[in-house]
Amino acid sequence: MNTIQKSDKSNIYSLRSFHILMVEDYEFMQQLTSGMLKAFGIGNITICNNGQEARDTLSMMANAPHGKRADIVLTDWLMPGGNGPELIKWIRNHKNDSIRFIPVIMFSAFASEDTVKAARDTGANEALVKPLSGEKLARRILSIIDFPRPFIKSPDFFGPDRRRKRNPYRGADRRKINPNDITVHNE
Amino acid sequence: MNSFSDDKDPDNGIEIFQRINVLKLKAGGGLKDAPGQLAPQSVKNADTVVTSMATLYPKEIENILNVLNTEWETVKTMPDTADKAALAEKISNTANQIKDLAETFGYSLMAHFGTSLRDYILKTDLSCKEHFIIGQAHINVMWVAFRKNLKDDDGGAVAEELKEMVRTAIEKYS
Repeated sequence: MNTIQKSDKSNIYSLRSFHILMVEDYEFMQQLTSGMLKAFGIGNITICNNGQEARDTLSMMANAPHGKRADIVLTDWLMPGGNGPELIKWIRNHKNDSIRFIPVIMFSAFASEDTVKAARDTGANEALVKPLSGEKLARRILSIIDFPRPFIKSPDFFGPDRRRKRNPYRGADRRKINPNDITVHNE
Repeated sequence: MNSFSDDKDPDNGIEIFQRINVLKLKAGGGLKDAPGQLAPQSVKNADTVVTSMATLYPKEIENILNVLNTEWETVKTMPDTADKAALAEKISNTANQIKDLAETFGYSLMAHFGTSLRDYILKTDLSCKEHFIIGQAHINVMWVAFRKNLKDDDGGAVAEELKEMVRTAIEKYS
């Protein structure tokens, strides 16, 4: 549980050195969202108009030896010229670790459970259904900072662990694997 | 650059990557610290950004409705042989932007019509004249909602009447 309203000042984060790459095709929403991110104190915001621009920007950042890399990608779902799911798949399939492991928040005006599941299965860390509010956006960013999930590579998926709960899951679609087939990489 | 294992069976192997939480460190926290927070005032300030931009809504929604009009007139006059799917996708995207904008500022009736058009247009056969009536009904009621500054989609005789117009058009011409 994130604690946005707690008054204890000792654990207040500073996001001044954070760099967020926002991908949104609608200029008005670009202004609104970047205004909110600035209100959080986020120091660097790069805006891309679509998925293709975001790919080019992320590639350029990864190749620049001393360039500022994005810490979080915040992407819209439906966009002409490269949509959110395509972008997330590209990120998760990338060979470069600095791109492949980047946390992604998907934000969308599509409120259906299917969209949220699709975002999760594509490899998004968080899904945020619009309309935006300060608290909703803050919670997703805090979740990325405070509750990062390990990344899982399976034959048909790469991305943050889709299970958030730590309790054993007994459902029919539970993960069934031989422990010998698991490799754990600790950084 | 690439931390994946190459020596595992790609058909069955699972790899788990436990990474150092660099963002927590970057935000000023320690790796073992309890969850932190954003300054409450900064969250309030973010909401103030939304509130202050609400004054721009009427002009912005008018602009985007004009964009929708232009796209709609284009698709109406396109020959049947033309590829209308791309334009339908564009209209759907514009309708989604209307929904997005309207919902952000609490205009739930406009958001309702934006959602309806966004989803409907992609299922529509744009070479079928009857289906145009449904699209036109959406656009007409959006303009009425804008001109009368109707906000809520629950209650209100005019809002209900507009929703009924779209429902009837869908039932009759689908």
